[in-house]
Amino acid sequence: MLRWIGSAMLLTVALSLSFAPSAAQKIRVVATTNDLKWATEQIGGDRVEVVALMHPLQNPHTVQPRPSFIVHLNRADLLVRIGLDYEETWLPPLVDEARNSKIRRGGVGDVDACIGIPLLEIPQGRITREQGEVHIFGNPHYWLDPENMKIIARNITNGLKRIDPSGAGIYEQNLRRLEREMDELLDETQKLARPLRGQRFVAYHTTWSYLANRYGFRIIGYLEPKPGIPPSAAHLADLILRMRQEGVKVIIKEPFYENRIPNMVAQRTGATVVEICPTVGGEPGTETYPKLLRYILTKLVNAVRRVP
Amino acid sequence: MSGLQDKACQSRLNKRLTGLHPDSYYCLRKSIRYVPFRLSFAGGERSMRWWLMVGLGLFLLAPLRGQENTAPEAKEQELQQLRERVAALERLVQLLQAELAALKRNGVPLTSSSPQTHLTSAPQSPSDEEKRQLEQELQRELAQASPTQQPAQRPSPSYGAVVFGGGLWQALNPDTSVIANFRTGFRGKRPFAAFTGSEFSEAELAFQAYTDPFTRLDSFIAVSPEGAEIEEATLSVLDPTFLRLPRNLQIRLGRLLAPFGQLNSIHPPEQPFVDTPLVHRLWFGHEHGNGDHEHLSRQLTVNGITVPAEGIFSGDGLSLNWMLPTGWYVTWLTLAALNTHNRVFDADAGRPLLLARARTMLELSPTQTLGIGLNYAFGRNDLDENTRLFGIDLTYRWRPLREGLYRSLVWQTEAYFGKCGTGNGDVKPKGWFTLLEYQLSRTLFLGARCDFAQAPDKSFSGHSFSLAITLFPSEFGRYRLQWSRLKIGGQTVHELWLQTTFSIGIHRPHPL
Repeated sequence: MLRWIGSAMLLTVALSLSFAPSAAQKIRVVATTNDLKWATEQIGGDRVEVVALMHPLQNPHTVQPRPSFIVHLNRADLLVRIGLDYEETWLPPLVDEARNSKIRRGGVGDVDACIGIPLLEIPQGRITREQGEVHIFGNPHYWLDPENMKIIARNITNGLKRIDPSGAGIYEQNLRRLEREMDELLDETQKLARPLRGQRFVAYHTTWSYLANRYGFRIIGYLEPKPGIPPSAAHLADLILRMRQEGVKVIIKEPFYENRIPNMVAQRTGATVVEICPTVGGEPGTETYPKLLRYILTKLVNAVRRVP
Repeated sequence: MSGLQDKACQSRLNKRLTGLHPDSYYCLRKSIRYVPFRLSFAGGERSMRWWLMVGLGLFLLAPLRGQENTAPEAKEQELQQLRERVAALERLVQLLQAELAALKRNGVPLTSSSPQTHLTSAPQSPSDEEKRQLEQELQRELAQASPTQQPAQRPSPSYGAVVFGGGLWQALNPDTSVIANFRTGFRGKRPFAAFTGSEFSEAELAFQAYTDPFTRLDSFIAVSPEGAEIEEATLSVLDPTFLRLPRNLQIRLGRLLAPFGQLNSIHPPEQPFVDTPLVHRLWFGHEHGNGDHEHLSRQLTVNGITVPAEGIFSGDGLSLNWMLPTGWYVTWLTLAALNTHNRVFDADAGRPLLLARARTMLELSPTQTLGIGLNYAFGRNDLDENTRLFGIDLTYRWRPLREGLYRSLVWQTEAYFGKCGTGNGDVKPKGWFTLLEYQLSRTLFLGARCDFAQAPDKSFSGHSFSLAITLFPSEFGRYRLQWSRLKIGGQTVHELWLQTTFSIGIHRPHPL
């Protein structure tokens, strides 16, 4: 038995070593989301090779760690993350397990994309679990505002410059181009989203606060009574009455939430359920950030126009 | 008019009326409700005027009753005050009439229920009733099974991967958490035959923090009715490059969970069943109390055989863990030397227990992983004879991408083989368990486990089957109901457990 186990161990080691790839030439960047991956590619251009850990259709709270995550993190030069407490449930143990001091917090390759973002919904006063799975630092879904995307890009640029000072000029140039692109996108989408101004919606989760803030619509309630707490009958009854009173006709849900409860509420309020993926690449035609933003706003505008 | 509009109207009126003297309020109500009626009833204009004058006179004189002896100046002063009150009331009536007219203009219907009606009656507004009915209707609908067609947050309370995964880091202070574990049990030849006991099983106090850029300290203290015990206290050198060692090596020192099997890396309160598998209980468990002070719910005694409810393989010492990352899987090799005392090993500093473990984790698809582990342990037993343990473990996990909040599955199987010296040859005990945990909905998990184990000296054997249903109202708490049928030493025992486990504070999620 001992010989058998010893042989199996040796075989495992041999296989592991034989499959180890050669070192890549490009700067290896791991982004936690596709949105950050897109931004990093815009700034890094040909000098970077970026992988995203989360699938765009995946709920950030239910990410199942996979071996490839550790492999990517182990070899990464740069880790770009949303920060706050967005990836807190799965990323820190993986970073420890990856044994790469560059990407640990405060390391040269650690990029917290939220630095400098004007955060919304920062809880005031004493924070307890009575408030559900409250985001204690503020709402982390900040990438859905082109102004914030400029700040994210600036943080990524700083990270790339730390890792690769020789490419600083290129990164700065790409950053300026991206900032111009975001300004143009903002102008374009402000016009596109004009019908949304003053509209009221209900959402499943607090994903849309930054988008609403930028484009002038309101999320008047959520299907979840508190972040992370499943909807209850009492809460839904309140919400339905409020929707009827305020004439809310659109419910926004992400693809990773179930359909039954949004449909149940829609049935009683005459509202339409609009399923929108808030991440780049989650739906066909959303392969880039500008496409994603146009896609989201168009879907909302269409939903509003369908309402009699 | 909808109930909410009614309420809005009532609210405006109430606001207006609040702060008025009670008499004024009474008069206002009268003026709104009855004056039009009297005007139509009173027969003639002269008669009406006469009655009004008499009424006004009585109204004005009423407060003066019994004050005939007061000075004329004082009477004049009071009269003046009354005049002012009447004038104020007139202004108020005009104001309210204007407001009612405005409300009518704005489309707020005021037909069936005048403000008076709202002020006086309305034990339950239509909106309350509507809400109550709606709530009952929704409750019925939510209670209907068919959880979801789109399963999917949150560190979801899935066993093993992420448990109580709050993980909100604090500045400089260690992450501190308490996991409180309560158990109530019934035990006998059939379920509910006898009440085993209700106990506060333990509180696991966890303190975890980085000590510097290279190391982290994780300490877990189990506080039970029997006292406090350090369950695990590990200093992990996460970045050993300052020792000129390769960066893929990690060193752990202190009291460690033995690197033997996968389930043993999880503390008992966070495991998917109330008790640990039989092989852990018989090989690594400790007896609790004695005689009359025995903690019945912490162990089971059948035909003189004592079976603890929990068993965890741990010891003091050091481990080295080397990671080999490849493109599609990761392998960890662990070597450890520990001092430990349990039913299999009796190792001390002079002759530590040596362990070796190789674990490979494969990515079958973006939704599936498979972990395979091979384990070996060598040490001395309490007869001072050589003892060896071999083990193999398999862990399969599935969690869909879109529906990861609502569906997941874990299948775990471990088999252990022993070769224990007795002085008169070796005995070769065996033990295994296989468990399955399936997530039925966002909050509900169903688990099943089959166990078999022989005593380390092969003097008896036992097997059991357990079913557990676990409800997670949030990721920080759970309720679990478990039924187990255990056959040991030729006797069958049924156990029914109710466990509640709650976590406060920040508890670092388990890695892979």
